[in-house]
Amino acid sequence: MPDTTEEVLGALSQYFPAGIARAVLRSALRRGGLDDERIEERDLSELVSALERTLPMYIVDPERRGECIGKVRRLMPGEARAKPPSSPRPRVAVRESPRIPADRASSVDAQLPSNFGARAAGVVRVRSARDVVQACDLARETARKLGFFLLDQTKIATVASELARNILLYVGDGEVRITALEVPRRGIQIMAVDSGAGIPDVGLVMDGGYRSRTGMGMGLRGTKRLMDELDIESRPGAGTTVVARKLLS
Amino acid sequence: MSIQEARIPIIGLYSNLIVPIQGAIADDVMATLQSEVTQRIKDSDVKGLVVDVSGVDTLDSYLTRNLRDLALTARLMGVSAVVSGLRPAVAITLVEMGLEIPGVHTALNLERALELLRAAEDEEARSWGEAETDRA
Repeated sequence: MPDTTEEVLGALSQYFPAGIARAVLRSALRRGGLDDERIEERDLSELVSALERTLPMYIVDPERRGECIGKVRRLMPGEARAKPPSSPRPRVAVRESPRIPADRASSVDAQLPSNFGARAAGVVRVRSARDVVQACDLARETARKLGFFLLDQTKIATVASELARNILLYVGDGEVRITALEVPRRGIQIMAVDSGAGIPDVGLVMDGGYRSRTGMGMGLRGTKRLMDELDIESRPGAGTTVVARKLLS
Repeated sequence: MSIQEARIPIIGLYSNLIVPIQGAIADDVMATLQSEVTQRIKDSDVKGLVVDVSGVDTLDSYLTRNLRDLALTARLMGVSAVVSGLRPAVAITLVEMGLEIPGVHTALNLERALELLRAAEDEEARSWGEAETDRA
């Protein structure tokens, strides 16, 4: 019988690259207050509700998000399994309608910001100084179109530059995704993902106990001050995902 | 905004060096700039350096640090350095991030920066003069 953690990861990896699937799972487990080493079957319902809160940050399209949660939900005891767990996991997401019973679906809607609308503005692969500038420009342009004023445009562009530069300086390869948030509130999300060595102690960096020669600590702490929300998921060897959001006031 | 691909110009004006930075700065350009400016300082009779950033719309922590290093390096070589033309939105963002640039003189614009350099030069001349008078 495959490990429950592996099964959940398998379901998530149909939607994300492996490194990011792990980051998403960790983030959800943390939100759900669950043990992040080993998931028991009885934890699954808690995990599903944690995922419902976490996933909007990662999967913008509500339909696709529903599918992804449906896949994890099906791992719960008593839920009909769409596929035997031994079937090969497709690397590319398979489109299928989520089999959530009607009464469940409505309760899901109640918890999940299901009216949460968003639109991907673009992805910049970060491998050179030029890409940093591109991420910065894309963030500014998206912020401007959303109606942010010049000062906030500048803050948002600075954050994109900061996050992209961290990828360039510390990992050398990664992605910056810019998303326009629309419902319930308009805003912008900048997500920086890499699969590098990770930050050993995020808390230390954010508290100001760590300061690198190139000023990374300052950059991340500064980023937090410029945005409304900042979420960092990192673990040694497993890469780093930073999600920063700013909402229109 | 376009990326500054070419080298950033270093303009000699009387005994000052003026470095106007426009647009987004790629890191390698910044590294080249530092070595070129210090070379010019060493080779010619330079008294002041102005780095004008009025054409820059985003400064992150890394570029800010580079800018500060450039100014402090010049100062260590005996050259007064001023950063001028920081845009309001950029200045506010830096302060909010906690990235003030201590030890670096700043000026509203290029004109004020040159005035500042001249005042510094006059001050230096006066203190020399006083030293000479004392000796006499």
